[in-house]
Amino acid sequence: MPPIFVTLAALVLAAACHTGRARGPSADSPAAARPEANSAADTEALAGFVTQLKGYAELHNKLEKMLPPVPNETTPEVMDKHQRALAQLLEQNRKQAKRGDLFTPAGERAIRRILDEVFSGPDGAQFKSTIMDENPSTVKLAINGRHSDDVPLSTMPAQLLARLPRLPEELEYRFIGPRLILLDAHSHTVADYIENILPQ
Amino acid sequence: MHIRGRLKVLLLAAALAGGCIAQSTRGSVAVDASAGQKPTTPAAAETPMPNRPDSLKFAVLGDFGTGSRGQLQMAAEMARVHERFPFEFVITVGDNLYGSERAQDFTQKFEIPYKPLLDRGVKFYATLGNHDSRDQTHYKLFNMEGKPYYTMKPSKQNVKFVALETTYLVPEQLKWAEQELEGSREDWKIAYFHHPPYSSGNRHGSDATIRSPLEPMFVKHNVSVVFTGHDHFYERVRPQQGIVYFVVGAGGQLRSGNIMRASALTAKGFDTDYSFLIAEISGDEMFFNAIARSGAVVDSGVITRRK
Repeated sequence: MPPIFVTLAALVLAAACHTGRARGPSADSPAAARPEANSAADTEALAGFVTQLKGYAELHNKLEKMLPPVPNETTPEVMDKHQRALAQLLEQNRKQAKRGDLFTPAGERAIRRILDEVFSGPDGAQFKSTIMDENPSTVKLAINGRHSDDVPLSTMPAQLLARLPRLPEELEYRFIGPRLILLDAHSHTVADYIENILPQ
Repeated sequence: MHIRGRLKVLLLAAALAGGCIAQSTRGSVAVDASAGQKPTTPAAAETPMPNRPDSLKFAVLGDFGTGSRGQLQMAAEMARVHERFPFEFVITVGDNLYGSERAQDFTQKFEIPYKPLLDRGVKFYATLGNHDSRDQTHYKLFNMEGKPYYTMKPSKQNVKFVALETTYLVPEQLKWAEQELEGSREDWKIAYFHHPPYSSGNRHGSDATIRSPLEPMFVKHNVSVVFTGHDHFYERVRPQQGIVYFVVGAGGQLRSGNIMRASALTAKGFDTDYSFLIAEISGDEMFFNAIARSGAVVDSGVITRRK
């Protein structure tokens, strides 16, 4: 090979390597672990998350059937009794439950990527503002713990809910401060949560 | 577009006095007939609005469930108004109960304050705010029948109310709302929910994340009026794309001085006392009075429905 071609090939290779380093995130940057959302890996991860949700919903329904049903029109006594009895049953049957059981690690990563996309979009600041409206950051959270009566429910923008995996009827996504929680809407308890998922 | 003759006179007089605000956009008109910054006569001292026998009369209440003295006083004023203006039902725009929701809370924050109305058979049709547990949908006196969003069609006049749950606007709810509005043949379509798409509140203000999915639907399907709360004051917003938006969020909470004075949105605002609203639909017109705890009428006017 003529020396001129060797030199050109070396230059092209060097340029390609340099370009790669310049465009790609460094190994320790937050973006390093964030491939494009909706990749096949994310789809699989979210499917795993949905499977966990189904398991939770089955348990929830099994336990709720042990209690007298709440009529569509009833008294606060009946509502409150039902809510607290269900919370107690869930706690008894989820004694070993810990953070990450429903938001599996892979599922959590996929959801973080979805939220990154949503919040870095043109309406991201508005979404965050809506979510953080009357949303205190200092509340302690515990799996199976009651969502504090003194903490308002965070407002969930329609645009965000449309991007997240659909939940069974028993569960809702809510934020408490920067944490995304799965709220059991019938027992008013925290089924699982992800720490610090809202961008600063 | 239509302004009634009597109000035209008032409008002219008020314009001459320099104290009148009137706005109109395509398909809808709201006129401030109170024509001044100061509250006018106590509502209980006169029979408000046309008060026609065959009209639909209702009240709007928001952000009330505190159990405070202010809420009790406001509720007492509602009962006084009801004696002269027998509204059939109250729609609530959320934050029905603040804090805990044990049985005694429902008693102290709802049943005791509104007992005179409840005893007279006045029904409450609630929506949920961010302070409300989903369980409230099962509370008999809120008439939600277990549903966070629903429609309601009174027997009088040709009106459909669409109650939405704006803290959790899942795609299913939006699809449902679209279908309900699309299929509606009623003359009047009125939506009510907690978060204001338009508000001049310094604390909360307009919520664009709510407005974005809902407003196109309302415009497309001829919703005439939207009632909201969340910001703790009364505001009638200048018509937006033909729709009149109200913030009625001071039924038991008050954020005094919170309306941004420079806001271009405000047709009429009142943020120095608790308030609620009464409305009367008769044919193509909806008359309304906003009433303060003192009984003063702080805003009034008439809206012609969109067609």
